[in-house]
Amino acid sequence: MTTATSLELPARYGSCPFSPPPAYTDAAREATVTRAVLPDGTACWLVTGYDEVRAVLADTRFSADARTPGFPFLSAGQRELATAKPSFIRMDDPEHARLRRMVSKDFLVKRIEELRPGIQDIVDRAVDRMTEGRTSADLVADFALPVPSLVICLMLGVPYEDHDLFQSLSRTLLDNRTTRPEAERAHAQLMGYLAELAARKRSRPADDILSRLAAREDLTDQETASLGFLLLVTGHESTANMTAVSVLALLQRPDQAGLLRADPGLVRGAVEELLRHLTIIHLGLGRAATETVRVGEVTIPAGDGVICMLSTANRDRQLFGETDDLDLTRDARRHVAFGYGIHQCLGQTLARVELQTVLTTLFRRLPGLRLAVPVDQLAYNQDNIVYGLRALPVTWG
Amino acid sequence: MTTTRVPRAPRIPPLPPAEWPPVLRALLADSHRDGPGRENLFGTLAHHPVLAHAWLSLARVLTHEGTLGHRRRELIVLRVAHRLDAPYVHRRHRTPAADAGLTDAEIEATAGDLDSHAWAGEDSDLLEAADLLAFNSPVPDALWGRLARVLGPGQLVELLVLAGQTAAMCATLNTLRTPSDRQPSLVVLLDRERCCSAGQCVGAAPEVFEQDEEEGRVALLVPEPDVRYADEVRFAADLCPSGAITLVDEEEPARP
Repeated sequence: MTTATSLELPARYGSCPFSPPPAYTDAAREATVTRAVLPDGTACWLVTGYDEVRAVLADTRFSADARTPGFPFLSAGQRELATAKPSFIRMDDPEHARLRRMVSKDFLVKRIEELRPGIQDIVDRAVDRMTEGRTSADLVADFALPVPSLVICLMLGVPYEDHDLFQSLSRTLLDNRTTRPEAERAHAQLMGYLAELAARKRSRPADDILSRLAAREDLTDQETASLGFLLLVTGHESTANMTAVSVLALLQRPDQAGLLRADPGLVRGAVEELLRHLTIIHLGLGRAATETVRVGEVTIPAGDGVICMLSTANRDRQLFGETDDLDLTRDARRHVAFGYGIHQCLGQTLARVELQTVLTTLFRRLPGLRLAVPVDQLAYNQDNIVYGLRALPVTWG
Repeated sequence: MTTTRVPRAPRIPPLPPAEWPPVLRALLADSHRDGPGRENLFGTLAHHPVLAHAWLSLARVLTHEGTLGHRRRELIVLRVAHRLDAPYVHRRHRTPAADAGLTDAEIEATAGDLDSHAWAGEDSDLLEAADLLAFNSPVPDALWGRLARVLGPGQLVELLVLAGQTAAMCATLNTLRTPSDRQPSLVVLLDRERCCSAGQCVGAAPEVFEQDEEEGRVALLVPEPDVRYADEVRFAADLCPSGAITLVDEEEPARP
């Protein structure tokens, strides 16, 4: 029921670029809930089992508000980001629901499906730009990052010319090595940028999310900027990382890439399996118990921090079978890569459509796509909240 | 006597509710106040939305703004449906017929030999007229005279249009081999307050769920989804992150 030694977070990565640190999967094999120690020395619970992860994330007795006593932080920078001027992902209902519902209609399944041709167009142009006059590129900087950035900029009404600014600031904010003053500065800078943009939208509105938010009388300027911040950062960062890691995973598995090339109709299921298999939030979602709650075989006292491990939940063998294997034909739709409970990713349909479009287009248009460097020379963002590749040199000539 | 029918594929399959124009879904929901069913009729008409609207407007006038009275209307519809061998229509009209005051025995008798039931004089005249109108046969003066003694000119016109509209519906559904509606028996409870608009339900069961336009909260495409979607609905309820969807199994009692 309890393990002798506590697992120290974050754990060190192993050799597989597609797996979370082995200590997490080992812990998951031992028990569904484990004791762990945060970098600041505080103890917390690591919830690793699929059922337990879903139970905690669906249970309102676990608060997502980072100001709740016991809330676990992996870094000082994260503490700053989550507590200073939190966006709705760090709030509980009813405030969370009030703010989330202000933007939920922009992410309706139907609405996102309507965007599909526009997304296809953005992806096609990105491939054109990447391949024009050359035979190799960095797939991260030249493709994976621009595509979702362009899409979310269009939806939000953020000028894409400013991408260097918001991409570098959000990288800083998601990096666990960022110090508190650095995070404070980056946060203030991006919030200031968005508040200014929102003010401009108020006087000269356009057909975009920021304009609609800026026009609302029931939102403060700070709330508008904070909503924009959340959509902008989550809207490009996770899809960019997921794109790059997915492409690498498929390049390393020509048999699976071949399946997708032979039958593009597989892509919906393929994206679900990639989401499950790669789950790029390796060290999961933080919550704090506001009451004493029984989770699996463990009693978690009020005031304790909990980290829900999406990456180990998605490797549940009973549910998914041989989970360490990438199998694009697997029914992986029960995965929790987008989280679970009321905070489950609002942009998940957008992410799905982006990934589906990106993968089919890339493998169709560049049949010779392959790594331009040996795989062991690749560098990963192991210190980020969102796992990814720093660069992915590829060639197709 | 029962006829065994070999089920055949519809010549033009009814469109699933997800593909209907929204106004048609609203009309169907509205029509359920007059009893369940009609999904496949609406799904067939949905291939031609403008015509669907006109057809259903006429149907609404005949049902709700007619001057014949409910009992006379249902007698005509049941008899024309029987004569044109349209069990779809006959079965669907059992509920409104019962609501209009027809007994079970009378409803059964509309599908049999007219002499085998002791019909009152006026009922008998209406049924006899329905038999003739169903096949566009001439109505003899004697019968017309009896009808004209109890019905005014407006009612008589309505009687002819009603018989014709019913016949057109029967011919359409029969020619297209449109299947009968299945009995709805899937009870889906939605807690829209809990819904967080993740959209998982729409992905899992697009024939059953949709998101409202304002906030993307869960809504049902049809009030009582067909049981054939049970597995998908169960899957949607499992995927739903906020616990907004509950499926009540047939054998379980529904919540009060």
